[in-house]
Parts: sequence; structure tokens; C-alpha cells
Amino acid sequence: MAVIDHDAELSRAGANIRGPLGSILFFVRRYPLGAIGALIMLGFVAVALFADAITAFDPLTTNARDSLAPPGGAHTLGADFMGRDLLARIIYGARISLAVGLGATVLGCLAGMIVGLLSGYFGGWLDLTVQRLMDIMQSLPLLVMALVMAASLGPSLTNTIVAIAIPLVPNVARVIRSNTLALREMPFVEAARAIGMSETRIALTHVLPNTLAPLIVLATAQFGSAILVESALAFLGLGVPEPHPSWGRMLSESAAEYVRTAPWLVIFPGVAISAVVFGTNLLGDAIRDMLDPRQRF
Amino acid sequence: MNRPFLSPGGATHGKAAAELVLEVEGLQTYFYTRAGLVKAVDGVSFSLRRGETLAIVGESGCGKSVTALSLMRLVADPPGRIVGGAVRLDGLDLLGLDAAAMRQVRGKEVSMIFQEPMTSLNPVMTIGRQIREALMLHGAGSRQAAQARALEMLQLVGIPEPAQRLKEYPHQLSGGMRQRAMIAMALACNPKVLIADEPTSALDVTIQAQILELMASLQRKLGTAVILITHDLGVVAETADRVIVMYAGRKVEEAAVDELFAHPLHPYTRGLMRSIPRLALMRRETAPDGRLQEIPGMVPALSNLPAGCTFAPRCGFASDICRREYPRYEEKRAGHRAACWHSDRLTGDGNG
Repeated sequence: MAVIDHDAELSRAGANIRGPLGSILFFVRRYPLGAIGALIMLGFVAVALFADAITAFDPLTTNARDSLAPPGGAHTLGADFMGRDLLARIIYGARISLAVGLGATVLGCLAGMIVGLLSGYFGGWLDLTVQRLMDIMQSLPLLVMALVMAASLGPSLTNTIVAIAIPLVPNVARVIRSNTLALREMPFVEAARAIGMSETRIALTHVLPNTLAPLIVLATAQFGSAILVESALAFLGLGVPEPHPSWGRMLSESAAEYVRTAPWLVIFPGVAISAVVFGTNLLGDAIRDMLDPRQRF
Repeated sequence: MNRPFLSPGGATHGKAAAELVLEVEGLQTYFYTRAGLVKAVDGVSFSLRRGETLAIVGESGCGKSVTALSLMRLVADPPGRIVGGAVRLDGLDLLGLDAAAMRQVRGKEVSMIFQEPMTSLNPVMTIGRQIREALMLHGAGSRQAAQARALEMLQLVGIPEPAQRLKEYPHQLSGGMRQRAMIAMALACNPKVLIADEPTSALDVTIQAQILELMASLQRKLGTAVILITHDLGVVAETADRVIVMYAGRKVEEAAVDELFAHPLHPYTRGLMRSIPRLALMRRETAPDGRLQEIPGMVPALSNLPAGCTFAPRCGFASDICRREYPRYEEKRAGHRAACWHSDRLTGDGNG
């Protein structure tokens, strides 16, 4: 029989973690893919925050001489047909993508939380009406729904966020509602009633916090799809308007005309979109595993 | 309303009323279900004196938990509804209060602890916050004052390292500790009445004894009246002053605890006593072949009760009159009431 090294087993289980650095190292070792995802996301956030310091080029300045300049040289990733630096546009585009992703996710989750909690906790005709409404919204795919919303709201950053947030609502509401249905029958809800708490307070302080774990997992997934939908909307000409750099529109502008002559205009924005969605999905998976009580010990 | 409970000729009316903290009269809680009308509690009356422990005993489904929930007005409506009777707490009619006033009573005047300590505490909230919550709802003042009181309560219920435990989450505590925390929460506002619905059924035996001992000592200290809902006659014998036996939504017997164990006057009570291993052994009441006795049959469906005495189909003493007419609930011995046509036949061999 092999000799068991208890200390090694313990540190593998994370028993002797010291300080925040220790926790981070433990996370990296336990969820390497999640750590890569987190790193990608951190990278994008840093790029978005410090865009001015990273690139000397202005993403909006045109320069006819540099039109369709290839990668290398002055423009690291080349330039588009108006001579705007591609790297600068991707870097500033990260701001738009992250803002839309974050804004739409937060807005959609908040609205979905309220709808789901009301519907699940108080039930009755309210639940019935709201759920049928959610059914109607869910019968359309996310992109189609966002398209309809974006087209009716008109192009602007805020409208794009709202247009993407609205179709996210039913997904979140469903998850919150189903959790609420189970939670409201829990003995601790009865116990809260027995100490004289009102139904509204029970819903907000006892039921809602218990639904947050599944919501966080859902939110990371929604974050990725929000960015993807924003790119798709921009690709179809309904996203954030010109001249703001949006990855999706950068793709759409170049795809038809330049994919043979200047492929970097298609490849690099495409890589940026893929990387950020990949990053959120990896991180989301790790968070789901972390919050799953069956995998936690 | 001033009827003294025991010793009919004894105390004057006024004095008796002051002694009584809770009076329940003809409580009826019905459930309107697809299977029909379920009379879960049908005309139950009792009263509770200050500092007294009243046990309500019966099988699953006899209406004891619904009685407890009715007192707190926590019966889910629909399908349940309190359709009749009165519940008076120090003269205040609880059934007549509006929802907001009733919330002020819950937790402050009447508290409740539940069977499942594992799930009766919110898993994402610290113990301290949950006890504080009970206090703040009933005007404990500042957060600091509530925190101090919560700490005091944890000390009182005998939780080691109370300051540390306040910051911990329920999953960090064992079952017994959680039930102690529940008791701390229930007693934090110093209620007049504590309803304990099977408080020890989910705990293992050694912890059960500790929790019962704790409840008894807190009761002495704080003067809380306790309604103990249980199916465990061993627990009753250890803690209760007075016992009510319920069957199919009605009271079938009621007496002081010693009297009840010495002279059970209802065959159902006797059946319960015989079906408990420890007690049966102690009292050498086991059947001749040394095996435990059970009550034959099952509790009848409350939506379809038999005519006459509801226990008759399971009763060895049942005669024609039992199947025809429900027996009167009357005093058979001093302070000992029962609803049975054949109590006199039980007195002879009931204590043998």
C-alpha cells in the first residue's frame, strides 16, 4: 500500500490557504481553464480601461495615405480602408463590447430577478400572466428578439444595451422563478414568518439571496452571448452607430469587400470577439463548478 | 372565558384569568381540498397557564401541527382556513387581528420552533443576522443593541464560543447547535408562549435529552409557557406538566402528566403507550410474548371519518354505541377528561 502524504493531500484540497494570493493560486490549480478565462477577461478589462495608454493612434482619425496598410510597420495590425489604425479600433472597441455586455447583463438580470421573484413567490394570476408573456418572448431566438428591439429603438449605445437586455429577461426570470418556487416551501421561510416577518421582506431577504448562486452562473453565460449579439447587431447595421468602433461592424464593413485583399480586417476583430466569448464561457464554467455543492468539499 | 382549567371549585375567576396566558376555544381549522372537506382541527379547546408546559400528543395526521400553526395563524390559505373558535392571548383575540397586527404578535408574543433544524435556518445568512432580524422586527433598537442581545441569547442556550458562532453560517453548526440557535431566535424577544413542533424528532437521542433539558431550564428562567407538539411519549413524560391527546382532529383525552400515564382513560392513549419500546419495557406492559404492541389499522382519512367514535374501527373495546355515536368529552376523574364510552373498562387494567 502506498504511503499517503497527508500534507500534500490537504494542500490539494485547499486546507492551508494563506491570504488572498493563496486563494488565487488555489483557484488556478483547481480550475486551470477557469483561470485562463479569468485572465482573458482581465486582459480585456485592462485594455478597455487603459486604452489611451496602450495605443498612440486615435481610433477615429482617418488617414488616406495608410488606407488598407498591411499589418507590421507603423500600424501593428494594419489599417482599414479609411486608414484608421486597426489595433486602436479593436482596443477602443473593447470598451463598447464590454459596456454592452456588462450593461445588458446587469439590466437583464435585474429585470429578470424582479419578474422571477414576483412571479415565483406570489404566484397566482400574476405568475400566469407574466409567464405567458415570457413564453412569447422566449419563442423568438435571442438574436431575432434583439433585432426587433434594436430596429424599433433606433441605433445608439443605450438603445443597444436595452435591446439586448430585454430578450435576456425571460431566461433569468425562469431560473429565478423555479428556484423561488422551491425556496418558498423551505422551513426557513416558515420560520421567518413565525418571527413576524412580512412576505415582501421574506421574498427579498430570505428567498432572493438563495437564488444568487445559479444567477451568477447564468449571468456569465449571458455576458458572452450579449457581446456576441452586439457584434451580430452591428454586423447587420443595427448596433452602436458610426464612428464608434464596434467589433461586429468592423467585421461587417470589411467582410464583403476586403476579405480577399485585406484579410486582417476580418481576422483580428473576429479573433477579438471569439476570445472574449471564449473567456466568459471558461470563467462561467469554473464558477458553476465552484458553486455546485456536490463538487465542493 | 374565565373558566379555570383544573380544580373547578378552586381559584376565583379573576385570578384564574390572570394565570392563563393562552386560551383556545372550539378551534376549527378546515382544509378545502379536492378530496373534500378535511377537518384537520375540529373543535379543540385548551388553555395554558404562565410557565406551564402543555404537550399535544398524537400520531402523524392527527391535527397537532395544524393546531400549532393555527395558533400562529400560519395555516396556508388556500387550502386551509380557520373557520371557527377563538384564540386569546392574554385576552387579545388573535383570530380577529389584521395581518400587520398578527405579525407583531408572531415572534414577539408567540414564537415557534420547528422540527427540522437543518433547514429552518437560512443557509446564506449568518446565525447572528438571523437572530438580529427577529429582534429588529420587534423594535430592539439599534443594530448594536440587537447584536448584543443575540450574543446574550447564544450564551443562554449554551452555544460555546458565541461571539464566533454569531458570524458563522448554519452549515458550520451541527444539528444540535442549530436547534439551540433556533431556540435562541425564538426566545430572543422573550415571548409569552413558545410553540415547539417536534423540536427533538430530527435529533439523535443524546442531543434530544440536552435540548429538552435546555428548554426546561430556559422555561424556568424566563417563565415562558410552552406548547410541546410531539408523538414521543418519552419526551412528554420528561417535560410536560399537562397532556392533550389528539386523534383525527379532536381532543380525546387530557390530564396532568402523572395522572395520564398512571390511568390512561382512552384506548388510543393506551395504545400509544404500549407501542413505545422504552416505556413499555419500564412498565412491564409488553404483551405476554414479550413483543411490542401496535395500534392496528391507520388514522382514518380526515375527509371521510367514520360515524360515531373516530377511533372505533381500530379499538379493541369498540361496541355498537361506539360505532353509532361520538362519545361525550367529559371529566372522568378529577382533572382528567376523556372522550370514550368505555373508560370505566380501562381504569381497571389500565395501570396493571
